[in-house]
Amino acid sequence: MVEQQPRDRSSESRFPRRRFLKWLIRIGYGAFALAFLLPALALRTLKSEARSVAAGDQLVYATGNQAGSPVSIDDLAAGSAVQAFPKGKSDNQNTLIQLVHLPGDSDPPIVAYSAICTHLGCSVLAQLNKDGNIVCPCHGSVYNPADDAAVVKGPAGRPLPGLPITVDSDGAVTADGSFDGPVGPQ
Amino acid sequence: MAEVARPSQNQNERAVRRTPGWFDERLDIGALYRKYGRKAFPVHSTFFFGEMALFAFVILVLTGTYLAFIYVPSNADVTVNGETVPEAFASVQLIESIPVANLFRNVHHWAAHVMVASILLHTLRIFLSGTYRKPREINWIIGVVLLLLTLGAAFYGYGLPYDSYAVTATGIGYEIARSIPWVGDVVSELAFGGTFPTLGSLSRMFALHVFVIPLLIMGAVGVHLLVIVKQKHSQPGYARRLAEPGKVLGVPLWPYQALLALQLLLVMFGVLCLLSAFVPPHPLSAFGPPTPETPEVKPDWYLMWIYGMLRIIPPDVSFSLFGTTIDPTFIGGVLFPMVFFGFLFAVPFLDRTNRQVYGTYEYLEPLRQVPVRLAVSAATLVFLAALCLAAFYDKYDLSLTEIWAIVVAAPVVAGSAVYVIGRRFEPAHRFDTRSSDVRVAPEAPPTPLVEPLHPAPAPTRAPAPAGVSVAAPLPLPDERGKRGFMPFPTVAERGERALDNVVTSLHELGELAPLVRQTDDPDELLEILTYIESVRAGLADSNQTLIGVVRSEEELDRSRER
Repeated sequence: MVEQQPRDRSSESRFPRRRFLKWLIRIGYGAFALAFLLPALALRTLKSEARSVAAGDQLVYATGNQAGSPVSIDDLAAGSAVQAFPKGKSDNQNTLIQLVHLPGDSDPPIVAYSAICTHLGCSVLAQLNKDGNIVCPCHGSVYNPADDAAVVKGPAGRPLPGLPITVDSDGAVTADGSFDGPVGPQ
Repeated sequence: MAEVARPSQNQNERAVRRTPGWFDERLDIGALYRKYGRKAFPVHSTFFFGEMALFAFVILVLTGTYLAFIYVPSNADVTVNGETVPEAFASVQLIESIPVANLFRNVHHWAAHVMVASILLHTLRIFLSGTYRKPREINWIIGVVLLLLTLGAAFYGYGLPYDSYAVTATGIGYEIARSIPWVGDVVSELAFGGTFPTLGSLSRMFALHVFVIPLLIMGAVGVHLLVIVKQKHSQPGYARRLAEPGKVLGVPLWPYQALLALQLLLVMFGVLCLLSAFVPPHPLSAFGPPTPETPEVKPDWYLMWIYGMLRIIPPDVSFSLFGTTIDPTFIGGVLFPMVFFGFLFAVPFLDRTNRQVYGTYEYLEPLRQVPVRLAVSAATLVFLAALCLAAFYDKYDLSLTEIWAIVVAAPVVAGSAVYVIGRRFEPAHRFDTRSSDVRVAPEAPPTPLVEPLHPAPAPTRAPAPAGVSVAAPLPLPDERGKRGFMPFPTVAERGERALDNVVTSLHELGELAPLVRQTDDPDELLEILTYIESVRAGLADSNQTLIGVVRSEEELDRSRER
C-alpha cells in the first residue's frame, strides 16, 4: 500500500503554479504586442527606384520656360548658373545639376555639381549670390563653385559632389560619368 | 467626492420631487449629474488656457474631418485643367475652390497655431504657479507628451498639401530623422513611408496626421482630465480663506462652467473664422506646386528654435561612436530638442521644493514669491527667442560667433536680471501653497462640534404639520449674487449657516418621528418619508460643513499659538 500523503495546502506549493500562470499571461500580452510590432516594421519597405546620372546623358533645363529642352551653354553668362536634369531623369530630384559659368578665365570655364545641398537635401538656389557662390536657401550653407564647391559657410559639412561634363562646340552639355561623391546628406 | 459643491436644500427638494424624464428612467442621468455635475471649477482667468487647447483640438478634428472628405493623399502626377501637379496638390486646389472648404482649411491651419500657443501658455502657467508639484507630476508629464504630439501632428500637417513648401519642409524632417545613429533609416522610412519623397509618403503621413496622432492626443487628453477629476483642481490662493480644507472653491461644472466653456468654444471658432477670412495663413499660390527649385522656407514659429539651432550648429561638431557618426544634424535637430524636452519632463523632479512627504501642494503660488521660477522661465523664453533670432542671423549681418554669443549670454543675463529684481520684491510673509488639512493632526480627537462655537439657538421653525409637511423648505438666504455666481461666504458665515441647519434639521426630525408612527395612509407615509430623506441629506451636508469649519478654526488657533 502506498501511503497517502496529505495534500499540502500551504502557500509554497500553490504559489509556483500561480506564478507560472502569471508569467504565461505576461508572455501572452508580450506576444500580442509583438504581433503588432513586426508588421509595423514591415511598413517601411516602400522604395522608389532612383535613377542616377550616367555617362552620355544629355543635360536639359530643369526649370523655367525652356524646361526639358537641351541646355545651351552659350546663353549662360559668365558668373551665373543654371539648373539642369539629365534628359529623361527629371523624376529623381537627386539628379538635379548645378551648371556654373565661372567668371574670369578659369579653366575649365563651365563646372557642374550636384544641386542637392549636402546638409539636409534641399536643392540649392539656381542663382549665385553676389560673391558668385552657390547658396542653399534652407539653412544658409554656401559653396564656392571655383573651389570644387567647398563649403564656405554654414551647417553643411561636405562639398557638393562634382559631375564630369563635356561641352560640345554648339554649347550642348553631356555628362561624362556620375557624381564623384554621394548626393545629398549622408 | 469631497470637492463636489453640495446641493442646497432647494436643489435636494427639487431632485426628490422631479418626475424623472424618459432617458433618466432608463439611464439614471441624474446619477451622473450628482457625481460629476457639481465638480467645482476655480474661477481664474489663466485656467482657460487648457480649455482653449482642448477646443482648438475639437475645432481641428471637426474641420480636419471635413477636409479629409475631399483631400487625396497621393503624390502621383495628375493633369488638371492642363496643369500637371501631384494629386494631393490638385485636391487642395479643389478645396480652395470651394468657399466653405477653403474657410475650413484656413481655420484648420489657424487652430493649429492656437492649439500650440495655448498649450505653451498653459504649461507656462502651471510652471510659474508651481502646480506641477505633488500630486500633479503625472499630469505635468502627460501635458508635455501632449505638447510633443501636437508638434508632431503640426509638422505632418505641413506636408499634406504637397506644395513646394511641403516637400521641402518634409524633406528636411526626413533627413533629420535619417541622421539618428543606428536606427535613422528605419525611423525615417517608418515615419515617411519609405525614402521621401516616394509614392507611399503621403499615405503614411496622412495616416499619422489623421488617425494615429489624433487618437493618441484624445487618449492623453482623456487621462489628463480623469487625473484632474481624481486629484481636483489646484486653486488660487484666495480659496484658502474661503473654503474649508480639502474643498475646492469654484463654480459647478453644470451649468456655469459648461456654459462658460461653450461660450469660449463659440468665441474661438468665431475669431478663427474671421482670421481665416481676412488673413489666409498658407494659400497654395504662395509656394505653388513642387519644383526642382527649393523655395526659401522657414518653419512656423513653434519649430523655429530647432531650425535656428540647425542653422548655427558648426559643421565640425561631430564624432564617431561605436562605428557610426554622430553628426551635427542629429545633435541640432534631434539631440538638442530631446535634451530640452527631457528637462521639461524632469521639471517636477528637479524642483527642490517638491520634496513634501506628507500632504500636497494645492494652491497657486503667488508670482512674487518664486523668483527662481520666474528667472528660469525668463531665461528659457529668451533662449528660445534667441534661437529664433538665429534662424535669421545672416539677414541681420551677424557672424556665427556673434549669434552664439547672443544665444548663450542673453538667457543668462535675462535670468539673472529677473532673479535679482524678483528677490528684491519677494514678500516678507510667504503664502503656504500646501494643502491645509495636512497640518491638522489626523489623530486629533473628535472635537466638540457645537458648544465652543456657538450657543445653540432655539429652533426657529414649526414642525411640519401632517399632510402639508413637504411644502415648506428650510429657510435659506438667496445664494445667488447679481452676476449669477455664488457669492463666496466667509468661513464664519458658512459655520453659522451650517449650525443653524444642523440644529433645525435635528429638531425637525424629532418632530417627524411620531408622525411616522401615527399615519396609516401609505401615500402620506411615503410623503413623510420622502421629506425625512431630504431633511437627512441636508443634515449630513451641513454637519460635514460644520466639521470642516470647526477644524479650520482649530487650525487657526493653533497657528496663532505658534
